[in-house]
Amino acid sequence: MITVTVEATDRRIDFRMSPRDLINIGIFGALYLVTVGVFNALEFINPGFTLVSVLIGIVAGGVPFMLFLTRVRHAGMVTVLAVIVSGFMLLIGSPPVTLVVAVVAALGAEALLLAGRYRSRRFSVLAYAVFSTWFVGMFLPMFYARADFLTSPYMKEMGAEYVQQLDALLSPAVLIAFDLSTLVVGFLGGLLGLRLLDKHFRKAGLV
Amino acid sequence: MGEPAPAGPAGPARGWVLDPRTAVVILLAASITIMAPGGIWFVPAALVAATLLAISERAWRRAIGVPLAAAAAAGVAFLLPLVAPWPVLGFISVMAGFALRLVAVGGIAVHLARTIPPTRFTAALRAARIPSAFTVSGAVLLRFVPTIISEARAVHDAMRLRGLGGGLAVLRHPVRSIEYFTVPLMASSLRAAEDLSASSLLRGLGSQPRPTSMHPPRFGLPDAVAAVVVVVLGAATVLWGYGH
Repeated sequence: MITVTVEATDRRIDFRMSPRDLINIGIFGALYLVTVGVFNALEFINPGFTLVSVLIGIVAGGVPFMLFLTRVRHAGMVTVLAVIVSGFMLLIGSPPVTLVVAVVAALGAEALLLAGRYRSRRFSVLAYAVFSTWFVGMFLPMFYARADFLTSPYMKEMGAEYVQQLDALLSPAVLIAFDLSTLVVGFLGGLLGLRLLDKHFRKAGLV
Repeated sequence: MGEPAPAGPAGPARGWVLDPRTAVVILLAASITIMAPGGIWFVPAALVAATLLAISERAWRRAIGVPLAAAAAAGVAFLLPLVAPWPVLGFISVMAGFALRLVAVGGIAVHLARTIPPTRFTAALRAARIPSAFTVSGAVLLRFVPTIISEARAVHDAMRLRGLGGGLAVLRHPVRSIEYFTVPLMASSLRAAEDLSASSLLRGLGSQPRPTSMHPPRFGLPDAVAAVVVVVLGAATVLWGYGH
């Protein structure tokens, strides 16, 4: 009985990371950023694609993330990944609040991974869904960018009806719906990542 | 301004180069003020700072490109709704207003990315007492992003050769495009990663003793000048904002 509990709790709840773990975090951070970035670049075709391209990027990011989870040896690795990924985003001009949102999302993801003892497939999909909500931080300024815009002197000339329609289109409800969709799409991304892991990477011996 | 900085293996080749810590503080100051509610007032100050930084580094194309991009975004943001009273145009102009903020912060960010190599950046982070878990993994990330971008280009070329590329194809078959793109990218990048991690472990990355730097980060005259310019720009913005 004792041996069973030792196996079940595993050694993954300590925080000591070896240089090899840190290198893995950096490599998968870069892989995650480039994968998400390539699909986000779709928004340059048409600014109307911005939200769609972010959602496709989240699905694509599930592949490197699920591969990364197979190499997580210690608690805290997902959080370090979130910090360096959002730190990199900060360096290329994303709002600072993203860092805070990313750390909160990563801690949520770590809690789920811990609940699945870092090996449950079901919990790792959920963990990716929760991790993906860090994208909400990138769009938080939209809330007040909209307020700045709606109260600007230009809007006075457009008439009350127009301002009302625009307000409805950019309402907090619509933006919150987008935020919730990151969770749903993150879940789909996790499932896709898991499927591709089984289909390609396990066979090739990369997992 | 004319005399070149002493060049070294990890040091900058020419021009006036800021200490990485100064550059990061300027970037954070611009990012925090601009992305805050009402931060649109700080956009002109950040654009001036970004242009001055581009000039200091003699990146003439950026010195012209950043103000032009900002002018285009501002034009869409403030003039488009006057064309016709359609909420869709209003939506695009709110997006453009967001893009304008991004251009202003991004102009400074590009300077940081262009002038500071990962070795100097990590030395500066270490001097700023950031825990090694973040500096080591962050350094690997910075070192590895260009490698993966070139791998991604190769995969994209191979896809186009087989008639699988293109933005429209992604929208038509998102899941299949993701599979065709990410699987070869992961496989080839992980092979490159093996070599990279073996080499960096051999060179002592992540070792316990604190590594010394060939060019220890030091604050100098350029940092003092930059600090004065940023304070003047910030004060001017605050006074201008109160005027409205």
